[in-house]
Amino acid sequence: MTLTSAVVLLPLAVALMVAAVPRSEPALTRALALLGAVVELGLIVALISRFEPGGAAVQQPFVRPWLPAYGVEWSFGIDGSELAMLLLIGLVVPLALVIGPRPRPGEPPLLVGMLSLQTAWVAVVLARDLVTLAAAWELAAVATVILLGERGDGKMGVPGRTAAARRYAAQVLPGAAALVALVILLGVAHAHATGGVWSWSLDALSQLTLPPGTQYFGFALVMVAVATALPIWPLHAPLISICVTGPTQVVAAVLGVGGPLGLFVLMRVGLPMFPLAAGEWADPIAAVAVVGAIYAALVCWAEREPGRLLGHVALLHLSLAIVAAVSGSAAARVGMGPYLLAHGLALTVLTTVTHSLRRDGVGNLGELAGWASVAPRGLVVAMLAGLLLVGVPGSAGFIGELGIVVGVLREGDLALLRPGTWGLLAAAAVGVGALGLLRSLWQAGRGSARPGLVARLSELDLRELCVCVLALVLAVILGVVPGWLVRRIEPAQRREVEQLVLGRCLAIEASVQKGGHARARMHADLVEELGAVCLDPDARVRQFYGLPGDAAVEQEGAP
Amino acid sequence: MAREFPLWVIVVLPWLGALGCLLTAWPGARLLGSERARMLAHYLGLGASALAMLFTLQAIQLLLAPEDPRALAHTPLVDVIEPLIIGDVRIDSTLIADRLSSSAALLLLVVFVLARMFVPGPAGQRALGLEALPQRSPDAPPESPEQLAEQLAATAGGLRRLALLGLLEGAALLFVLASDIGLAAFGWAPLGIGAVVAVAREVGDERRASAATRVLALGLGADLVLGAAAIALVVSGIGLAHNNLWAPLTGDHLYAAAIPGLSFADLIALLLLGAAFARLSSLAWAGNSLAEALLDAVLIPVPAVYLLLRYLRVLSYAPSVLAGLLVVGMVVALAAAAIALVRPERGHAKHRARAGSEVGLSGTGLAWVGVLMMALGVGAWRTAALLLLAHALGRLGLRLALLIADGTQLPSWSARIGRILGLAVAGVAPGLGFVVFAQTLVDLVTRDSLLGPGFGWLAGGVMLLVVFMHAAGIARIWYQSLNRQPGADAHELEDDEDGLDFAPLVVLVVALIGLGVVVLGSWFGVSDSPLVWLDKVLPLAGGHESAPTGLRESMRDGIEVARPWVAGGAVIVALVTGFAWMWTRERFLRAHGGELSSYAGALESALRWPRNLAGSCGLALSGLTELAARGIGRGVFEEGPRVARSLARDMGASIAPRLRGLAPSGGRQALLSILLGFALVLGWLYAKPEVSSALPADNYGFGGLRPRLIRAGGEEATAKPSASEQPVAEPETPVLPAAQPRQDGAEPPPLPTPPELQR
Repeated sequence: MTLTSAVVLLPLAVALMVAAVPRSEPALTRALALLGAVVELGLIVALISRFEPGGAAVQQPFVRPWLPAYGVEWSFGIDGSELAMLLLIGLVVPLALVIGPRPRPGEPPLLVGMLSLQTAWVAVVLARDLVTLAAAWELAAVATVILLGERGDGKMGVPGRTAAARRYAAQVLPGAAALVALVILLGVAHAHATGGVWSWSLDALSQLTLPPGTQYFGFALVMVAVATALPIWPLHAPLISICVTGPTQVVAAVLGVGGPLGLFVLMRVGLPMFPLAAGEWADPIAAVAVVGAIYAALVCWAEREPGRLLGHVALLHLSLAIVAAVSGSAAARVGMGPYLLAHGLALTVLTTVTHSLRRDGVGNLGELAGWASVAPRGLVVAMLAGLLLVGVPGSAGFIGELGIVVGVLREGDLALLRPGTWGLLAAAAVGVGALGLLRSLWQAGRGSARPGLVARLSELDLRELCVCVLALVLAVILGVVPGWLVRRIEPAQRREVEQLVLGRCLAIEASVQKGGHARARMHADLVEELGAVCLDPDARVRQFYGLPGDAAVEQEGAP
Repeated sequence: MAREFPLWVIVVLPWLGALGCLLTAWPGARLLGSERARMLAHYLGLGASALAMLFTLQAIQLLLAPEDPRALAHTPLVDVIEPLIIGDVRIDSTLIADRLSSSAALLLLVVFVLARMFVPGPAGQRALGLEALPQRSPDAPPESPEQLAEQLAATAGGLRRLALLGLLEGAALLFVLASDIGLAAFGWAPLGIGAVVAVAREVGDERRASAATRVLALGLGADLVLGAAAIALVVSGIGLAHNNLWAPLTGDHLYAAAIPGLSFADLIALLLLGAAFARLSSLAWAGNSLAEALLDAVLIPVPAVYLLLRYLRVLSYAPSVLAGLLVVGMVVALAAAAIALVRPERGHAKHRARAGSEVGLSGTGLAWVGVLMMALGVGAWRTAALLLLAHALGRLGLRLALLIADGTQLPSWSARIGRILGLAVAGVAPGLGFVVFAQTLVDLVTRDSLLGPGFGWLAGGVMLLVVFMHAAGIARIWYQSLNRQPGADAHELEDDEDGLDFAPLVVLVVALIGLGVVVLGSWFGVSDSPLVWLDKVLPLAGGHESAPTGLRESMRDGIEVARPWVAGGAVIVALVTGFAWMWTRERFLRAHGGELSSYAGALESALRWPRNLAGSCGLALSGLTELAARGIGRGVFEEGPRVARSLARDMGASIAPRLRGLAPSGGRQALLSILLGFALVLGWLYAKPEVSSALPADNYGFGGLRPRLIRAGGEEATAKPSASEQPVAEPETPVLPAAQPRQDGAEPPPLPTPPELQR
């Protein structure tokens, strides 16, 4: 058993142990779950520390046959690009386990579910086989839906929770089905390209060059699969509902990890498998993300319901990451690491505070004049989380945002026709929206307490306060010394971007030279067949689309 | 290569002092008692600042060594802290001390040491919220636990405020010593947040909270704009490091177009000016506490002005931006000085009304910001540095005097010194205030700008108006808030004098007068200017090739302004400020100043329309956000689907009976479904026969079996048929694939010509 498989299986093992503990011992189960999550975090840190940036492309591999006849394998490993995501899961899940209401009898199913969710998420991140990845994704989708409906409507339940979970399921499950269709599509295409060899290895599939029509169809399937998880405007409404009514722990995990994980799947599956479609659809996707960011920024200035505000903040903050993901810039992808970590940690803090308000029956921040004089801790940590989201210097958000915006502006012109417009608009919207959040919090906190507020509002307890402080300290540490992580991520991201551009170039060559008769081929076969093409893929793509910066190719082509 | 010097010590010392103060506040007060804990914290902070100042002086001494012109640098823990590199972004932990940064650090530290000397005195204790502990006689009954707890809480609160000062001091030092703007931002952001905390002072104070809201908005806005400037620097190709500004290709990068019609120099200059002046304008809401005094004197102005002077090369490449800055500066200075003098009455009935002296302080502070803008607008970098020096010393003195007076009046000796201080700040000769106003006036008249010489004269006229109103505003503060009121007993306050209150005022007055005289002497060649060593880093002229900043030919004598112009300017300023002081004295000492009410009314009506415009814009934006949140967010995305679902359900219910009548029976339904299914499957197979197999059937001569043969070792056997499948002869006109349409709708580029056609 390698460290990779241990990282995948540990949460599952802890979940089984938690399930075995009597339901009448909620504190014990939560402590056990927390211990497991902390050990998992330790394993993840060890895994990241052992990763050699200049070593093999895939390190710590764990491969076992699953369905040998169809080439399906249990295959896990790390190539460097997933390290930030892995760390995000490792950090957010233990923090999320601690927040929320005090331990109460009957809690174990929630904890078991959370640990199962962690297993599924880690498996998605570490999977090197598409079937394994898809299976883990489906498991995560189902687990999320079940967890969101936990203690739903009924005599003792939370009003509206079941409806919100149902609505979330109505959008997530079709996405899960789309992922299954995608798996079939890619598997068959690989078999076609290799003459009947079944393989679902992500490395092998990324070597496929699919015909344009298949690329568009496949990329559309990926977008359907991840659109709700991301969330992407205008499909974000279910997320807002669950932020209002969902269980605190699950909401923190879904906002902190679920969204970034959708982005990860887009980058792991959507972009390398369908580079032509990804390149051509990058602008519309970025435009939709920017529209979503502007919309969410405006809402952040006016929304007073804490849960809705939380959901829109998540939508707002991920928009810039979506632009970074489709920009085809290695620097922006590297910047996404710290940025998503700041996202996860800040949203965990904000979920803690907003749900604490919900527990006190506060449905409108306008009712809270004088919050600071009654419960200053909650307000202070929420405002610090807001600063983290706005990218205050010294935090992981600052480094991430700087890397993303500079990366999109400097290197995004290959995938995006208007990198400056999308990058700057998204960044400006994030800044304006986060200012709106801070303004709402400040207005709620300032001044003397409104009569009756002291009796109504409770302060964050020590447990939740520790979680918030820890999250903020981690965000600062990651902002001050991010080199430990960034140094490991960068080579892999550069490699992936190079592969992406090469794949796009080969798809272009195949479609140009084969016209409508192009079919799925492996990169190596295509290069052998077409001769010396794509020696400078970047320049060839620029030339094909008439983008600026293709002078070198024009000169080479000149008589 | 720079010389090694432990510069991080200068930054870390105040932080350590603050941390010690913060961590020991509660246990120290319990173990040592409130009085001793306070003293310990004061001396900890003072020691840290003084030690940091000594280090800075040592650094300056090294920089002055004529045999080695290199700057000083320090990169701590090279093996542990790696530079952060993401693409073109590079931030490392190196601090650099050159003439500019070490001067800024020294100014910060001198002011902090003076302020920390002031803290242990009664006024300083009051300013920190630490009321003097009652003198206890040996036979007095022991204090009750409630009293002790109250004392402890007050002590801990005061020490936390003291710790905040140390944290902000370190942040400001980090900003000025950082080697790149990325690292500098790590110091810039805490200053903005600290300003909010300092201005808000206490939870529950509605009036301060209102002011702090604005400081928060401006502070965060300044953070974002500075971040945008950093991004623009990287995108332009210059990079974040300050050193890169003097790289060979920087000029080309600055001239390059950032967006149509705007060069990178213009864009970066706009962003830097936006960041600096957004931060500076937050001073308008500073009240009068010790923390706010330091914010006003150095914590906000020094980093902001340093930022602009550090990037003066970028500014000087953007003459149109500088011209705009000059115009804006004139408007700001005029409006702010008028407000400082007249103090419009509007809002006094509101809960957030500010005390008159606070309005005067804010107005004079903003007037200084306007004058700074004007000086920078004509490229007078040295004058800007001098303005900063005068502002730091003068404002600290003025605010300390107000803290000593504490809303009543100054004790006798403090009043005597305070009057001289007020005169020096107001610009009465020969204080430093007078010198900088005269220098600014001369620069405005004698320097080139895109707006032409005529505008220079206009700016000079505006400057004289500002000088008059600023001096009168300061005089009003003096006569209304500091001076002994007519009829007060001169002897009753003698005993309240305290050396710790008084000493910093004396030092500041001596510094203001002494520096003023020295600068005055330097104009006429009697002595060197106190800032002469900055001449190497603050050029007199230069910049954009088509609109360089510099002195006009007709007013020069050698490389400097001709002395008659300097002398004339100085005389005019001396007359104006002297007259302003006397004019104000007549109104606010001998009378009640009621005749200014007509000016207040006029100013009020003049300020109404921009206020209304801002209100309308705010209302429109608020409506837009409400529309997004309620109309689109809840209406379209949440209620919309619900309404659509209800409608669909109702429609379905209404047409269901009719459909039921049309529906075929169960058997027919089954038959129809089967037929439809068959048609679908057969049609699909007809359209795409290859989907019947997972293996490719086209282009393979064996119905998909060939790949299996290949794997069985049949490559040679199948290679020939494969070759024979090639067309026997090439078509006469090979069909070229259709060119892909471009996304932007333009003509597609020509496709590569196949070799067949080339032949």
